[in-house]
Amino acid sequence: MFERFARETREAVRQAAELAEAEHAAMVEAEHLLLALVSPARDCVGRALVKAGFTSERINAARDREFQSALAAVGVATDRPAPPPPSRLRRGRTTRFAPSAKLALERTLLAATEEEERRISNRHLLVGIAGADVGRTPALLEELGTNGSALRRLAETPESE
Amino acid sequence: MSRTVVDHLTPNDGFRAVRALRVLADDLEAEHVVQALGEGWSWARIAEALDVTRQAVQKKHSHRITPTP
Repeated sequence: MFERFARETREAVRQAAELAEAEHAAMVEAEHLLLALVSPARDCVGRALVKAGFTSERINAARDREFQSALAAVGVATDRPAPPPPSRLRRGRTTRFAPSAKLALERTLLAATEEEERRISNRHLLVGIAGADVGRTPALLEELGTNGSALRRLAETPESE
Repeated sequence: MSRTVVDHLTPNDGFRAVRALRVLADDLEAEHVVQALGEGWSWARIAEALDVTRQAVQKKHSHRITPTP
């Protein structure tokens, strides 16, 4: 599957795994894919995201707020930062992808297919990440002051942003 | 955790809360296991306090004390 990926997109997926590992997370999650697009920003998609204010610092701060607000909804007040996902399943290397990341990658492929584009680029990856309609991603994007359709628009015309 | 909590949350916010609670519980457990061991608690004592088997708690947390390279 990865042979269709552009070099920067293969790099982004690898970077997502490295970011997860650096956090001692048991799994690579959709958030790590988003972070990987901007840290470092290797191409026009990453630069457009950073320019729009989606830096890794802001994304990580939004992850903490998403965690805290998810708990506040059931009456648990905490100012703890979001911990890494449970590592009890940790065996060997951290290259397992959580369903959120797998589904984002599936939508990435779908986005390229719909465009009849053979080469899968970071534009498609951003569309894949932004396409989640349940789970943490929509709430994370809301914490960042954006939403899935705004990010898909940014993915369509990264140069003009 | 009552009916009313379920009533005022969307399913997705409910699932986000469940997931965050799991992650929080795991994080709290890890923190307290490390602290207890530091204070000289045995695995057996930690297991009793958590009401789980010693094997379970040791399997889950021993890497925090003696990280395997």
